[in-house]
Amino acid sequence: MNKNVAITLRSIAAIIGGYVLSALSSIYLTYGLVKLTYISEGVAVLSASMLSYIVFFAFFIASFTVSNIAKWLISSILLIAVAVLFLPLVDVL
Amino acid sequence: MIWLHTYLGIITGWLLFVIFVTGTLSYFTPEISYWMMPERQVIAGDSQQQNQVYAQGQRYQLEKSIDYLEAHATNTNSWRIYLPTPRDHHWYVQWSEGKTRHLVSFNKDAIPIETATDTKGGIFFRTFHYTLQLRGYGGRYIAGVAAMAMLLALFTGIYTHRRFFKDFFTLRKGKLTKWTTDFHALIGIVTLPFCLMICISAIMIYAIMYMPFSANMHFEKGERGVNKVIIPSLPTLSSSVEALNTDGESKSVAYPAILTNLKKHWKEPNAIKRITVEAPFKENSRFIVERTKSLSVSNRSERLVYESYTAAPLEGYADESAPATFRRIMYGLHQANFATIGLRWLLFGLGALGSALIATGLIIWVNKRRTAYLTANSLRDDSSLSLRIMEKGNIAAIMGIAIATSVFFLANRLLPADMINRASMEVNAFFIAWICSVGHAIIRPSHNAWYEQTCVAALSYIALAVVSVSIPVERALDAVATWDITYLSFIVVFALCGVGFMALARGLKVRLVRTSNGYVPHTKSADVPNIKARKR
Repeated sequence: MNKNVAITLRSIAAIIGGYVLSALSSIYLTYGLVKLTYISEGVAVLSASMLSYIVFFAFFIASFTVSNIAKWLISSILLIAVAVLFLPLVDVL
Repeated sequence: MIWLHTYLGIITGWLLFVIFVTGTLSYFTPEISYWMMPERQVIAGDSQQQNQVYAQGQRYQLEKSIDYLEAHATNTNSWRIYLPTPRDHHWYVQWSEGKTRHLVSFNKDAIPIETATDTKGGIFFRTFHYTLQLRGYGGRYIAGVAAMAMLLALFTGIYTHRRFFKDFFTLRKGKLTKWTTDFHALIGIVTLPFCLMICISAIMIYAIMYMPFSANMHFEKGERGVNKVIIPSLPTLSSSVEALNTDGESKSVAYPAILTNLKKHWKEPNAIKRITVEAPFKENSRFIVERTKSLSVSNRSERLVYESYTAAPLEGYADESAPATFRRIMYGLHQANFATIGLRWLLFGLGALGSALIATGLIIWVNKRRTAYLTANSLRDDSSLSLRIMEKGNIAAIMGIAIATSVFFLANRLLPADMINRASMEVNAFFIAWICSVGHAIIRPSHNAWYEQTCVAALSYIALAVVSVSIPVERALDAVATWDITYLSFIVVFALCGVGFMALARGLKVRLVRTSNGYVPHTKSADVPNIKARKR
């Protein structure tokens, strides 16, 4: 793959993919924290929002370290699509 | 990883540099405001000798504040009394009548100050640090992106310099590029824990604002809704009758009894920072006392609640949840309100080194790129465009902020006191100076621009030291007479900055002369003085 194309794809995966995935993770984490630890919704939202930055950070770094960016990008899109698909399940706490 | 480290730095470097510089200055926000408002005097001291008087001092200030408010703020829902600290020496009261807000400052003799200097003070740097003067236009989001970029740059920097100890003990003198690279690695290692703390806390402070999706999904008002739920508050006061004694006269606030009770809980002198009196003149009025933040890592200090007219302790605020406390601690660590003067200077030094880390990183990129450019022997204009942009941008960002800061301080002293919108004019002076720096960097060859702007910075800081002594001269004399260390420190720091920039200008001039002597006339770029060095 052309180097510039690879860098563009890695940047897209890191910035856009990372942010979307961490946003989704904050929603799922809120649900998980409320259901598993029985903390209040507000505290769960705050905790989940803070924890979601770990997802962003890890995903960002991983996007620049994986050997096959095309494979990584496709996997990420699939993961995001599945997460979006199941979003209505965690919509109502 | 090295590539990522480089380009994260290049893309966000200028932004990070100005955020770091203004953040470093913000460690002294109250002190800067104190210097910029010469009418303020030493009200609060922290020496052993003054501590003796201190307990009495706060009592006196409280008494005078309540007397003033009882006489002047009769038609309001709450009073706020801010007692002076040894850092800000600002004693003032606040209240609102309808939509009109009132603020009255006092001098040490409890006389209201009629003519306060119209200035933003140190708050300007603090606000710029996290809003970039773009509040409402995405400034805080840009600052958040910069914080995350810095965090990623730190992580990738650790990977780049994974031979930690070898890098730490390597500082090659002689060649400027090698010295700068070694210095960059060295200060990167020294400031690593500080920079990590600053970046992580910066993101955590606005964690929900930057990632609002969960909050928006579960709360109608989003982040506000979350904060309303997780931040403890007092029950709303019901309407009540006037607080009258048996003679039918208004009762006095029972502050002597409250202060006596407070002494049992808070042993240190100057314990009170702020007092809020809710529903004054009403029977159910509440008296909320907030402790100074000097003993707490959190940005929320302890608060005690009393009945205003009986001094009976009330239940007070509930404890916050662990995540909310964590966020407050992050906030507190970022602002470092707990820091004593020594620790504050240490943090200031680390902030300055952090700024130097970013600046050296930017300079290294330019130097390496220039070397690579020469190695390829490609002197086409298009190939040097990015190099030129970076060189000019580095000058505008690094020297621009240095000059603009000094101009901001100079404007504070030189603008007429009765000027309309004086505070805004000071800010305008800051940005005009910065724009001039950008323009100068663009039109002048880079080496000349570095040298000339360093000379301007040296001159302006020396001028600032002179102005600080002479305008108003009575204030400087008073500072000497009262041994006002805070005020006098500014004069010393300005003079040191001036001398530092002079030394830098001298070094740059030597390089400039050496470069001019070896300059090859037929080369296209006057901005690439090392060409001759390589050919030689």
